[in-house]
Amino acid sequence: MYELLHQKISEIISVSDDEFEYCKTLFQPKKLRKKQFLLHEGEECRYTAFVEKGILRSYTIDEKGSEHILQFAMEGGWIADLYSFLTNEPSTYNIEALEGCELLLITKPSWDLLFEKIPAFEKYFRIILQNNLIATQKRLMGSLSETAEEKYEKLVASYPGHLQKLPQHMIASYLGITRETLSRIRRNISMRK
Amino acid sequence: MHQWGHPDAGLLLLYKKNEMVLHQSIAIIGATGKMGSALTKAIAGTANDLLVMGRDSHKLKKLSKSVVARAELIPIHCAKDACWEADIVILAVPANVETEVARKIKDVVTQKIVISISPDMGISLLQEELPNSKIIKAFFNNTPAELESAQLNNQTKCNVKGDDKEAVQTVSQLIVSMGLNPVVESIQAAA
Repeated sequence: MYELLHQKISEIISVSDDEFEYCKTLFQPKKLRKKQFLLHEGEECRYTAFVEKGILRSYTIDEKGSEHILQFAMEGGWIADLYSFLTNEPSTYNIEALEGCELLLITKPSWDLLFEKIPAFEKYFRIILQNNLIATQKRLMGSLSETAEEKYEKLVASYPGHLQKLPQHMIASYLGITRETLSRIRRNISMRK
Repeated sequence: MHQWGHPDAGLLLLYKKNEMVLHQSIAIIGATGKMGSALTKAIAGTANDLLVMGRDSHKLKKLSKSVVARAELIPIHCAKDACWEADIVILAVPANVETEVARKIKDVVTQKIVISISPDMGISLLQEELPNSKIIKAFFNNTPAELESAQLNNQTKCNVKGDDKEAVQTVSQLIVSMGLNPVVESIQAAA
């Protein structure tokens, strides 16, 4: 249940067995079925979630009813609406399971307690948040300057082996392109190989 | 604003009834028992998803078909799986079985609210088995038939006791949404 969390934490910081045992007591194990929600727009985001198994997406819905996907979270990744999580304000996002998921959830008070009791976790989450900020900036720049094909190729490189699990319309939504454009890009890439 | 509470109880909680929003997944372990099935029917009228578990699969199937739930109602045969999916767990089992169930679900109820309705089992015993869960005792002063009836109007009391303030508040909100009046007992007053 905690194997991947332990592995991912150990890639960044060193924690003793006792420290990790304490860490486990602060996480809530949660299973979600496909299409169940971790968070609905308008709710306060009470948890940040580590993905032991499965895939989730976070998205918004605009006034016209169109979905805009902010993020996919795969195994070994984290997902939350950080703004809502840190400020207790209502979220503008929905977080949905795209397949059966096993998650480990931590609340803000437990997060703060973890930092207090095991200060090394401040470094761990600083690096996670740094990487998140870098990825967000790259995606923002990419959306302004890259071609649709370049965006797609970057996505494939970011989620190797996982893209075939995602519905095509969701990949298109994430990239901000139409399904037809996505099909054309994939056709062109496979013809080049 | 409505105000409920017994004037002699340790604590009073004030709620704005219409503003309470509680949408959680609630596992009822022992759902096919008399109190378990009554609680299932009472909670089915709220906005919460229900995961109902009972050892008798025939009774479980009958229960899940007979209950009209406002949200989802999923029958599950494994207590651990039900509790893994749940946000809140209700142990509607006899006191002599509670320890056995607690040991089965221990790994998947860390940081979750676990409600014991057994009058014969103290908080501390269950807390020993589930050291990382938020244990709440809820004493339903109703018969199963009363719980199931639609006549509840937030007058019938249900005593609530626990160490974790937030968990006590969450459970009290659930009890109000079921049509009962939560009366929070102070742990110090009870000791």
